[in-house]
Amino acid sequence: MSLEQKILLVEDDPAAVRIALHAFAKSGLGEERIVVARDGREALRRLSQGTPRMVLLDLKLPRVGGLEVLECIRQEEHTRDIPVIVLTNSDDDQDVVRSYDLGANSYLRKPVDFHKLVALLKQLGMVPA
Amino acid sequence: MGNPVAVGKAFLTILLLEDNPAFADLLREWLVDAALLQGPLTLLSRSQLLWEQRLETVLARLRKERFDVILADLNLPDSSGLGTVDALLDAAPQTPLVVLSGLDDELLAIEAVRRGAQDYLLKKDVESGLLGRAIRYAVERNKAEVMVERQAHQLAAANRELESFAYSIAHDLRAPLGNIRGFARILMEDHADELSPAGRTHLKWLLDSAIQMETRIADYLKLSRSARGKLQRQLVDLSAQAVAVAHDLGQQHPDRRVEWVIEPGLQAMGDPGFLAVVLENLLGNAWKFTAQRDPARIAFGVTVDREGKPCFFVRDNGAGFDPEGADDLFVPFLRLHSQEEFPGTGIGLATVQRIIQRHGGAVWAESQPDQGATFFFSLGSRRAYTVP
Repeated sequence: MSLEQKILLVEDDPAAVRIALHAFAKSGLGEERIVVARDGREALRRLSQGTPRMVLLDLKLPRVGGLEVLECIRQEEHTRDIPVIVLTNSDDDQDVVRSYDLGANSYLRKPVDFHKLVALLKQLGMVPA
Repeated sequence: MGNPVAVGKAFLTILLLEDNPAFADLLREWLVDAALLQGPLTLLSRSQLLWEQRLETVLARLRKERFDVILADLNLPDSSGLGTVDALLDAAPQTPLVVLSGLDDELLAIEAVRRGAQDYLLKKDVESGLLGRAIRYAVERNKAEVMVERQAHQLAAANRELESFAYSIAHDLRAPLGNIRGFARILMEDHADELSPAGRTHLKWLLDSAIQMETRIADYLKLSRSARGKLQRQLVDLSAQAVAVAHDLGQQHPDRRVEWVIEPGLQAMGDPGFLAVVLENLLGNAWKFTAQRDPARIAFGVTVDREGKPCFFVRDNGAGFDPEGADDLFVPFLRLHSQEEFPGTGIGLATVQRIIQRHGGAVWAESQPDQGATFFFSLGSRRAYTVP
């Protein structure tokens, strides 16, 4: 599955994935535009195969954590410039600070407010304003 | 008190620090008489008296050995007075210390005990009975103190563990709860047509309950964090913080007419993040409880408490509360108004109180029903305030 022009959603909670897919669909992004990775390792494998249009990255992931994934994204030539929005469950602002230090473009607190997400997607030109 | 006091351990190892050999001999005799040491003719003498003349030697021994009690003269060739007390307590904080002194100086005696000595005996008063009792009591008191200290330690650790357990439970409930809310919302927005009117009503209740629970958990986490995070004290511009809170409230409810009176230039030493939470809660409450006033009036300023010390206040002309319930205001989850009158979780003021107490201050409130309410808070040290 090619990643070009797609959103890579890295999220381990299947219910949260389902809700996200629904919200994307409502803003005009069908499931064919979304690729889901269930943990950090799967995300890295996907990212080694292509350049998605954007990454939505949960920070708390099994195996390889979100911050590590972010670090890898920013190190690799072909993924360096992808917009990354991190999703954080934690209310510890340290996570947000670390994400920005590592090059995140924006963050959303979980549970994600999908109106905010869609507004961000519009800002990044992912969906028509 | 004819009977000797039972000592948990029958045989004591006593360390004597005394530079006068004649007095040391006398003490040994008294200890034999007091049955703390056996006489020279007894073969099974298992209690021990170890005698040293210099502080330095004693400190070296304390690094390697443990004693049941230390008897010490304060004035020695290499140390004197409270310096001897401090050095011994530093070297062996858990070993009871009985001070022997030739000086009849009550202030010195009190100070020695205040610093941690178990007892202070005047050489001219010492005889075997007094010495025996003083040593036995010192050992027992010290044992009890060590026990209490250990229990306080364990209790504090257990409390911290419990608190962080509650925190992680609340934290972990958020993700599945968010999903419940998410799916309820999907049903509401996209599948409402497929439900009967009653079904839609139930769905609405489901969604509202999930949202309410999310708010409650978020508030609980705020309360919990207010007891945990480290305080970073600096000079905080409370007036500027209050103006920012007022601005946010106005933006959230542009329909409300509220007259704000915020005294400019109020500063305090404290943690800026935590103090912002205090103002958000107090001003947010004032905002909420003046919902039925037009215009509502909310003031933030500085005044003096009953003892004449400066304190800050937040005053409103809102619904107020029955002064009988004033103590309950700060109890977590307890509310003085129904959800229909004024919605809320009852955690805000508990959070305020924790933060204020961690700053070394106090928070209290005055009101009459329908007469508005005033919340006062101080932030501990007198130097905490800069009043223009």
